[in-house]
Amino acid sequence: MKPPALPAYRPRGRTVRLARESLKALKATKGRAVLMMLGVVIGIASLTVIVSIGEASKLEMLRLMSSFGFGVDALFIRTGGGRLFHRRVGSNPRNLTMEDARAIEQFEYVREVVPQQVKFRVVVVRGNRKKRTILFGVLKNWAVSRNWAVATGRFIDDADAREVRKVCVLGDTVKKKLFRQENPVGKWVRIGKTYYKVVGVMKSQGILRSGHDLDDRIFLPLTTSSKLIFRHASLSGFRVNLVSRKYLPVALKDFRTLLRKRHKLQSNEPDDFTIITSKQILDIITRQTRSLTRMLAWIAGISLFVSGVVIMNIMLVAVTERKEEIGIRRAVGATQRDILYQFLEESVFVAMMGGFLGLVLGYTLFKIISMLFVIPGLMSWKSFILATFFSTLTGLVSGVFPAWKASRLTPLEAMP
Amino acid sequence: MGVTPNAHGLLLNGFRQSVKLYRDNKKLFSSCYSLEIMLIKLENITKTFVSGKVETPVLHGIDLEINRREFCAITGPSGTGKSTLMHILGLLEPPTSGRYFLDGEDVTVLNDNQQSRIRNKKFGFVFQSFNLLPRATALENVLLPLVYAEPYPRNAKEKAVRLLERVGLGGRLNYLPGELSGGQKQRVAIARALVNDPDIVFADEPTGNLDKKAGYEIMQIFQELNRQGNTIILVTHEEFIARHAERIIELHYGKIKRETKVTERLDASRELEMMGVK
Repeated sequence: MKPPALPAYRPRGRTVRLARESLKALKATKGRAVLMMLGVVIGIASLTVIVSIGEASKLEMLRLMSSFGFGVDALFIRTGGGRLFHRRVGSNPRNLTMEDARAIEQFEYVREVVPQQVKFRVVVVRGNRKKRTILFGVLKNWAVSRNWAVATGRFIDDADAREVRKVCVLGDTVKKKLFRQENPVGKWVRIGKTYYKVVGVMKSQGILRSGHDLDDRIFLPLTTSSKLIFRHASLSGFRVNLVSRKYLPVALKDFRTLLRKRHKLQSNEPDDFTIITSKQILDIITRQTRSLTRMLAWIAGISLFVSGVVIMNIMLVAVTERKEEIGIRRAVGATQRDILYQFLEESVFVAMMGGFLGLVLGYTLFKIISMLFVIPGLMSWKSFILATFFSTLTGLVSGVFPAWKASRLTPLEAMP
Repeated sequence: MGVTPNAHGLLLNGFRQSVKLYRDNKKLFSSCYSLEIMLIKLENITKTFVSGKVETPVLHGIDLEINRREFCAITGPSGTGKSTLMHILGLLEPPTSGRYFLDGEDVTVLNDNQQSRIRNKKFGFVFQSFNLLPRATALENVLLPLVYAEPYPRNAKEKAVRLLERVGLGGRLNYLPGELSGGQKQRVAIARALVNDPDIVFADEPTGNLDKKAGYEIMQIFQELNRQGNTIILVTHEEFIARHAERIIELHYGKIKRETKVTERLDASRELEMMGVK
């Protein structure tokens, strides 16, 4: 005769059976389940939007940085102090010079200095067509360091700068406005009273989500623009490429000390230049969406909290209402832990379902927001993980007390 | 085997095997030993309900022995502690003092978890008010004890269907309790009580909410079960129901007044026949 086998412990089968019981109970009270879900849906939707905006901001930063022309191993020094992008109109400091640039180039961790002069609202004329655009006075290294290429002709070269030639290179938008389908190379355009010969057209770089048209530009040799447009030799700014990003903190300190010394600033005077790094650019973009993000964070927090309270309340009522059921289950052999798990699973299931719906809603909302605010519409798996985590957490935290209460009922207390 | 075992290995192996033999057959040996003798033994069980400062003593020192395969009825006037006694026997409620041996093991010292396991493995309950889950079908109700069973029987569903057929509800597997009559509900409850192959079936006034005919039908099932070897403990206040059992334990205000062997035992099938003739 076969000896009686020891009872095998199979937790997985048991867990599945308990989960099935929880789902059955939820199905029986659908209206209630929806009510429990509602808060979680709103909370997780807000959370999803926040995370997506954060991710999108980072992406936009990278694009904006590339438009400034620097990656993580570079920084930008601009004339004039004060906050980034908040220069007072009319102030036109002329204190950053080519000599400053050369002094900075002396540091051994500096790979390259790319100087530029920038003038906004320059009118370029060709025949009876006009285009208002941004003028860049640059050297050869400007396009090389950004990896920008020309579509036709050539970019400004060293000879142009050395001989102060009256030549220019057009951005794609400017070329289209002034020349339509024609090939502009070899033709002439006028700025002010001076004519410049077009030697090349840049390849299109596209428009940023923030509305910056990277092709709405005209490039002149730095020497020509100093002499004929600006009538002074000081720079608007220059980009500094470092050998490696690990020198960034050192470089920030060194450059500031050097420039303050060269500009003979007293210790109580503010900087008359600004050093821009990628971190500051990120700050600016976050500032743009900060109020929205902050509001959504409140909504997420409050609605998750409220939904937790709602779930707890409804589950407490359910425990009271289902006393008899609990009693029956206990009588036929459910342990306290079985009852605890069963009720806990109910609230966790509801919250997770709410989380999933919230994710879908959040995704939709974010698509709309990304259209209204100019940020790229990108969803990441991060929001999926966060949604799952927070909804499960809500369900667990709010369900644990009712479930505990249910498990404490003795079989007879629960039965009529 | 290809390897020659050394003396040490032989000794160890022999020891291991004897331990395994003992472990595997422990339950078999003990059940053989107690096959025809005591299943339940109560020693001086008391129960006092305390609500606030008021103490209500219900049972004063019960000594009781119930044998395997016995069909015994606990009777007495209402408020005398019949149900409380059954709840203590069924591990639904702890006694205030005294000792309770089940299969020779003192179960009063077990914790809640272990007691739940015993209820799940060894007991089946039938209550006066049926106590079925209102939102579960007859079949789901019968399967309920197996949700918590370990291990889960492979043929659980077939077994539940077979039990429902046995109590005459083969055609109503997917009916909700609300769609069944009182007698049918109680039969579902009986099927539920039997699904885990219990050692003991407890029935607390199972016919209390039923008319006479349905009551006899239920008693017929219990008698049939007893004939097949089930131990049944029936709580009732009606004398003619109690006389379906083999032994009647009469309680009187918390004490056992009298234990009598039923001489003229009623047969529910015959009574049903007679009712049919009428």
